[in-house]
Amino acid sequence: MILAGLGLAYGWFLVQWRLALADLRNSKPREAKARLLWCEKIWPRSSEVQRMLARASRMAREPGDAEKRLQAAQKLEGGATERLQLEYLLLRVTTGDTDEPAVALGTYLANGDSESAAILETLAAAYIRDLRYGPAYSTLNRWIELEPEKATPLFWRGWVLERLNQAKSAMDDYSKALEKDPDLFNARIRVAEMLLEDKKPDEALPHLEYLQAKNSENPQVLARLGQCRYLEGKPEEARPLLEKAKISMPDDGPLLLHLAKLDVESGQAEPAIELLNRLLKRDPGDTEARFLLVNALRLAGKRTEAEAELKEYERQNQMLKEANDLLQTEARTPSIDADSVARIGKMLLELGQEPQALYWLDKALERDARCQLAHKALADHFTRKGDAARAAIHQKQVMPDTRKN
Amino acid sequence: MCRINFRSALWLLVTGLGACVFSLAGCGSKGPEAKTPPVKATDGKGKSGPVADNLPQGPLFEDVSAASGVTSSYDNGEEVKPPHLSILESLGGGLAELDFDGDGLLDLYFPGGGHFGGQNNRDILGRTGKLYRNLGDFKFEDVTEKCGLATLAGGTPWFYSHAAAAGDYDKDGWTDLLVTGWRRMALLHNESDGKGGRKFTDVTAAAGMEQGVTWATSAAWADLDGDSLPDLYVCQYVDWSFAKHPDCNYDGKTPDVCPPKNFFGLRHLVYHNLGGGKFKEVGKEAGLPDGGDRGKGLGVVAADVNGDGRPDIYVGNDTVDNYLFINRSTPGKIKLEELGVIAGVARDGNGSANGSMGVDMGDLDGSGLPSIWVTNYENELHALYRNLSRNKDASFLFQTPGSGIAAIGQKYVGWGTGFVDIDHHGYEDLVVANGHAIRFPTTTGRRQKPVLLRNTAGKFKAMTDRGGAYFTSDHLSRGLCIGDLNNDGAMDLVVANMNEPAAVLKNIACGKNGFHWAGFTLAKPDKGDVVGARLEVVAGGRSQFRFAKGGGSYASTPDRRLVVGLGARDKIDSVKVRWPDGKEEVFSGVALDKYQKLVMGTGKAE
Repeated sequence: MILAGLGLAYGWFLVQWRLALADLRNSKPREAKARLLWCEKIWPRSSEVQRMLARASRMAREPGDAEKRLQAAQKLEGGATERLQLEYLLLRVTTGDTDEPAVALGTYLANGDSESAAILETLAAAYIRDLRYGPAYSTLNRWIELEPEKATPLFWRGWVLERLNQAKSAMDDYSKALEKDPDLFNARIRVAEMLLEDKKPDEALPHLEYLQAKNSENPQVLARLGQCRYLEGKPEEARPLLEKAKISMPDDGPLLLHLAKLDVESGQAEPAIELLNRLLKRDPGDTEARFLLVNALRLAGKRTEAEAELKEYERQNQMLKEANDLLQTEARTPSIDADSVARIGKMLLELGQEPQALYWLDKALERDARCQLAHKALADHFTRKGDAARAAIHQKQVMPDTRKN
Repeated sequence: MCRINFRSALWLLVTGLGACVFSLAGCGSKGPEAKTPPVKATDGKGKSGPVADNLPQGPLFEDVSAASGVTSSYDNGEEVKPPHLSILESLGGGLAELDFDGDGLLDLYFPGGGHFGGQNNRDILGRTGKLYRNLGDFKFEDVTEKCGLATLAGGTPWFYSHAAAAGDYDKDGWTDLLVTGWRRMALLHNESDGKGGRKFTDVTAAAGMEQGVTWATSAAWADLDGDSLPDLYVCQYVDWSFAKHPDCNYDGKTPDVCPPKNFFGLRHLVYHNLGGGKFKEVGKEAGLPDGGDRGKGLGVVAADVNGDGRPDIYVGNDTVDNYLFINRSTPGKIKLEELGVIAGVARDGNGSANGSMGVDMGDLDGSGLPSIWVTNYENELHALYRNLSRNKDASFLFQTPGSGIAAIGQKYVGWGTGFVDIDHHGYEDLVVANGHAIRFPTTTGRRQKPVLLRNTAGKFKAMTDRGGAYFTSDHLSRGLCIGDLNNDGAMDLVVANMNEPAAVLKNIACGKNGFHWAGFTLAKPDKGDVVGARLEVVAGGRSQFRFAKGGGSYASTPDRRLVVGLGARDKIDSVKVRWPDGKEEVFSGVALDKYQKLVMGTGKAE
C-alpha cells in the first residue's frame, strides 16, 4: 500500500517534470517554473532540474534567479558542463549581450543541437527587443522551419512583419498561428485590433466574442469590443464596455480615443478634450487623437485653439510623411552612412516615437561613433527628459560648431 | 502599447515593443463553449442582409430597364488594343434628369463618353450622348438626333464627355444642359425647334466657355452672387494627357490605371453668369485654390450649409482634401472662401484625405442644416458629416461610425449617390452606385453591387438585399439620379453604367404601407435660380427639411423637386420656405400626395 502510494507520488512528480518541459517548449515559463519547484522538492540535487529552473527564470525575465540556479547546477555538476555553458550563453543573450554569444550559439545551431529551438527562440526575442527586425525575421524563419507546428514563432514573425510595414503578411502569420493554437490570446486580440484599425467591425467581432467567451472580464477584450460596437454604430453599447475597461486600462490609447469620439459625437466637447489631452501627453505623435482634438475644440467653440491644434497636426503629419519616406527609402536601399539613419532617429524623436528613435540613433553611432547629428539629437533629448548624466555623455561628443546649430 | 495609430503611420509601429514581445506567450484558457471564428477575411456575401426596420414587404425597386427603351451605355474606350489603361478611362459618366420639353415628365440625358483612334490610338475622341424623352409609364424614346444633339455646333463631333448639369441659365423657363469632358465643355441651349418641339443648340463659344478647360468632371449650377442668374461651378480633375501617362501597377506586375497621386491636380472653374447668354470664368478671383497637390475634383453639390441662405459649395476631391466653399459673394462679384479643413469636412475622422467621388446633402437630424454625404474609395469609409454650424459658422462632425454606416465595410468604390426617402417613412435613406476605378483590383471585384442604407431616426443599416434584382448583381456604375419618373411621388433611380446599359429602377416600395407624401417645386416669379433655399415641412409636430441643391451625386443632375415622406401622418401642419435672400415665407393650401409649386412671394401652393 505504502509502496503503491510512493509509486503514485513519484509518478505525479514525473508527470510534473514532463509537463514543465512542455511548458518551456510552449513559451510558458511561469507555468513551467511552478511545476519545476515541485520537482526541486523531490530531486533537490538534480542539476537538470536546476538548469531547467534557470531556463524558466530566464524566460520569465528573472535573470538573477536564473543565474543563481545555474550556479547551483554548476556546483552539483562540479563544473560548467557543455549544457550549462549553453544556458549561460542564452542568459547573456536574454540580459542584453546579444552579438558575442550569438556567434557561439551559431555553432550549436550549425551542429543541429537538440536545443536549437530554445536557442532560436532566445535569439529572436533578443533581436526583437533590440529592434533588429532583419536578424529577428531570419531567426524566426529558422525557428518556424524547425518547429512548423508551433504557434509562437508564427505570432512573433507576424509581429515583426507589422513593424516592417507588411500588414498583410503579418495577418497571414497571425492566422496561421491561430490555426495551430486557437487560444493564443495575443494573436487573436491582435487580429481583432488590426481588423478594427481597418474599420472592419463585422470581421473583428467573432474574434472578440470568442475571447470574451473565454474570459468575459478581460479589460483588453472589453476595450476592443467597445471599439467594435462604436464602429458598428452602437454607441450605447460601446460606452459601458469602454468605461469598464478603463478602470483597468486607464492609459490605453485606443480606449481613450474611442471614449473621446463618443463624447464628441454626443456633443460633450469638454470631457473629450480632457481625455485627448491626457492621451496626447503620453503619446504626442498620435495624430488621430490630435485631429479629434481639433474637432472637439471646434465643437466647444474654441476656434482659435482648434486652429492652433490643426497647425500642429499639419506639422506632425508632414513630419510623419517625411519620416515614412525616409524609412521606406532606407528599407528599399539601405544606407551605409551614419547621418541618414541619424536623420530618421531625430525625426522620430520629434514625433514622440522614443524607442524607435533611439534605435536609429544608436544605429547611427554604431556606424560612426562621432556622428554629430546623433549626438546632438540625443543630447537634446536627454536634456529635455532631465537625464543630465546621459545628456552630458552626448554633449561632450558634440563639436563646437555643431553646438551652435 | 502595441498600437497602430493610423494607416499612414505604418512604418512607425514600434512603440513599447519590448513589453509586447515578452508577453507573447499565450494566456487564454480553454473554454468549451467558444466556437473558433474565421481568421481570413470573409467575402462579404450576405453582409447586407435583411436588417432594415419597417420596410414594406417585397423588393423596393423593379428593374424596368429592358422595356424602358433606355439603352445608353457609357463608352470609356477601354477596348482599344493594346490597352492604354489611362486614368481618363476610369471616370465614366453620369446623367441628367430634366423636363426638357415641358410636358411634366422627367427626360434623361446621358453623356456618351468616348474612345480612341488615329495613330497609335492616341487621338481622344468622343461618343454622342443620348437624350431620351419620357413618354410616360417608364417608356422612353431616343430623341438625340431630333433634338440636335448628334453633333455639336457646325457638325463638330462630340468630345470625350463625363457629366451632365441641367439648369435654366437664361431664365427662359426651359432647362438647358451643360456637358463636361476632357479638354472641352458644351453649353446647350434649350430652344424651340420651330415645329412645336424643342431642340438644343450648342452655344458654348458664344457663352465664352470654349477655352480654358483641361479636364472638367462634375458641375453644379447655383446663383452665387444673388442676381438670380445661375452661375456655374465646374470641378477639374488632374493634368493628364498621353504626354503625361506613366506605367502603373498595384501588384508589382499587372499594368493598370494610374492613381490620381501620379498627377497634378487642376484648379476648378467658376463661371460667372453675366446675363445675355455670356459667362466669364472667375475662379481665380473668386478664391479657388490652385491645383498641384489640391483639386482633383470629382463631385460637387451646392446648397446653403451655414444658414445664411446663400448657396455654398462642397466638392469631393480624389485623394486630397475636399473643399467647402462658403459663399461670400456680393452682387456682381463672386467670392468663395475655402474652409473645408477647419469646418471638419475635408478629411475623414482620422484626419486623412479620402478618394472622394459622389456627394450629396440632406436633412440628417431635423436640425434644419444640411449634413454632407460623400462616397469614397475602397478601404475608406464613406463620409457622413453632421452639420453643427452655429451663428453662420460652418462646422461639421465626421459621423460615419456613430451613424452605423461604417458597418457596411470598406470594400466598395462609391460613385453616384443621394439621400432619398425610399418609402415615405419620414427619413432620408441613402443609395450608392459602385464600381472599381481600376481595371484589375486586387482585393475586390471591379464590378460591384449598389448599396442601400435604411435611415431610422439618423441611424443607418444596410438594406441592399431588399433592393430587388438589380441590387443582387454586380455592375460597373458611375452616375446615379434619384427622381420621380412617373410623378407618383415615389423616387425612382437611374444608374449610368460604364460599358453596360444604364439601369432604370422603378420604385415599388411606396404605396404598400399607405404612407403619405408631399412634393414641391420651388420657384421664383422671374424663373431665377433657387439653389440655397430651404423647405421646412411640419407634420405631426415634426419638422423635415429639404434643400434646393445644384449638382449632387456624381457627374449628374437628379430631380430638382423636393419630396417629403410623411409616414402615416395625413395632415401637414405647415410649410415654410427660406429663400436664398434669407427671407422666410409660409405657404398655405398644401395638399398631400401630389406635387405643388411654391412660388416666392405668393404664399400659396399652386
